[in-house]
Amino acid sequence: MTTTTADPQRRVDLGVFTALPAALGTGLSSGVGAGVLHAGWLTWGLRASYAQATEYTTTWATTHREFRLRAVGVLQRSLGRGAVGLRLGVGATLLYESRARAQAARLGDAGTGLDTSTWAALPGGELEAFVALPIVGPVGLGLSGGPSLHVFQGSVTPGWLAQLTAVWWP
Amino acid sequence: MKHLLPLLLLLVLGCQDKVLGLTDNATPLVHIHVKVTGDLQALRPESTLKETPHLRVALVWGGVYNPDPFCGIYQVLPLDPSATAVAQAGCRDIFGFVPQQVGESVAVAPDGTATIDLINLPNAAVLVGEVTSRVGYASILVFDDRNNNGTLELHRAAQNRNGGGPGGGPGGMQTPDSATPTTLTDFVYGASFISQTQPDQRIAYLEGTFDANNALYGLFYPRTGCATGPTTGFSILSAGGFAPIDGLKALAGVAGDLEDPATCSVKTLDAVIEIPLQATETVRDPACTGGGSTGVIRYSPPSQPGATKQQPQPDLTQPWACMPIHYSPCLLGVPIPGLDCSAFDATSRPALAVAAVPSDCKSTTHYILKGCQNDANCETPDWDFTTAANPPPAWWPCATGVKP
Repeated sequence: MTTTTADPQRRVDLGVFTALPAALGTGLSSGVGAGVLHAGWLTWGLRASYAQATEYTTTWATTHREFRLRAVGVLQRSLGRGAVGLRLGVGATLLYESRARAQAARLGDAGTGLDTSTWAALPGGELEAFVALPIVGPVGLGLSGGPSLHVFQGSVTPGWLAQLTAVWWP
Repeated sequence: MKHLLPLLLLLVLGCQDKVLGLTDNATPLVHIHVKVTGDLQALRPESTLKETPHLRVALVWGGVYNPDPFCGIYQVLPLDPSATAVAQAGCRDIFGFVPQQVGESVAVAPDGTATIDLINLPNAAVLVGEVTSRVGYASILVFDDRNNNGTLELHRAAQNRNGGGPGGGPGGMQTPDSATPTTLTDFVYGASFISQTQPDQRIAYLEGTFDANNALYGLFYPRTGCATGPTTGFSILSAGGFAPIDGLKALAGVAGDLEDPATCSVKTLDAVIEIPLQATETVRDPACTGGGSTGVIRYSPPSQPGATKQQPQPDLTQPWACMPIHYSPCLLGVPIPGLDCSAFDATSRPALAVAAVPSDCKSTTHYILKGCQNDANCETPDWDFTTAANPPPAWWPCATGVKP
């Protein structure tokens, strides 16, 4: 009889992602996030996420779509069958902003012509605490969250993020 | 390679300025160009001469107005001199522009020009029609922003039983020459659309296509007779105005064109709307709200039922008249299909109509000795001052019908 054991050296995860929008100031950005982790003498990895949020003023409906790309360094230790640790991520957040003028569609083409959109990139990073636990063989759950920072228009804007992911130890 | 990092940084950070987030920097949807002509100083009431005038223009969207039958009939038809006097003193122009919402307002430049940058579309409350085709009309009002708060406060007619006096509405109620002003009301000195009985230039906003045969459009500041209606979006409509009697016929459902086609025009907002200044006494109605008019008369008791204290009586120094209970079309004396006037008695005049004390807005109060607010012939009267136990007040000038 053989049993499948998780390889603690590698980890792949995919799940839901929520965060305070990087440059919107309010709201809840939600989407998906994924990452890979390699544990050697240096535990490192790559993460990516996509999330979007829409907020409204009296004249605009603003949607921010955020693509967060991060290189991460990890401090972790085993805890039973799983692992707990801290994950420091640094990278860029690609932001696609689209603004639709409230009610302008009532004006037909003249109104929709008022809509705007733009791309921007924001340096950013976050420090997350995480826990990853195998449940069925090499597959388990991961939970992480923590504060984040972005550099936006010359100032540092704080935020937060949280992720709940399915984890696979290949 | 050494240039790559700055280039990358520029790429990363350079586009951030274009991200606007929730910044409310709305670009105007349209611009409305106005030219104010005339000498304000010569028109200012004496009581305001010590103030610094703040001349502004405001875009004001019009509302639906249903004049009550008394005003509708006696303001136009000379059926009864005393009732006509009440209607003249106590009824707003039944074909006049009735404001509902005040929109953008800007200061008038020393050369008399002003440009209103329209940020918001009119909301559904000021549009008439259906979702696929609805229209709204606005008048440009020129006013002295006496309280200098940057916008126009609409006035409303006094609601008290004395029919007027100070303190009747937002911005206060006062006459321009009041020696003791209660508050600094904004005084209107001109409007692009004052009345349908005068030449007008109105801002039209249309969603969908305009159907001249739409019955709703025929009742909302109609321009029947004009060959073309408003265009989709914003436009400036002009018309020469119609005679009040023609308007009354239209209200009664008698078909016929109101406007002379030669006086009609439709322009884009590139045109300049010229507004001559005029005495504020002659242009008060466009700043007076309709007061939730429903087209029916609301009656008041001559005194509060059960009141032990002496109630204030109407100011009978103002025009007043004893009237039939129903100011119905039966008064016109001509057969109207579907209307039974056999029980109508024009000689019975137990109702009292009193014009309000002259103020920012005109109003008339209708008193009856017995009845309800919405129905003079209600089965269970809310008040009854026709019994020996509860007689009419001593000042009551009309028929009493008191039963011994």
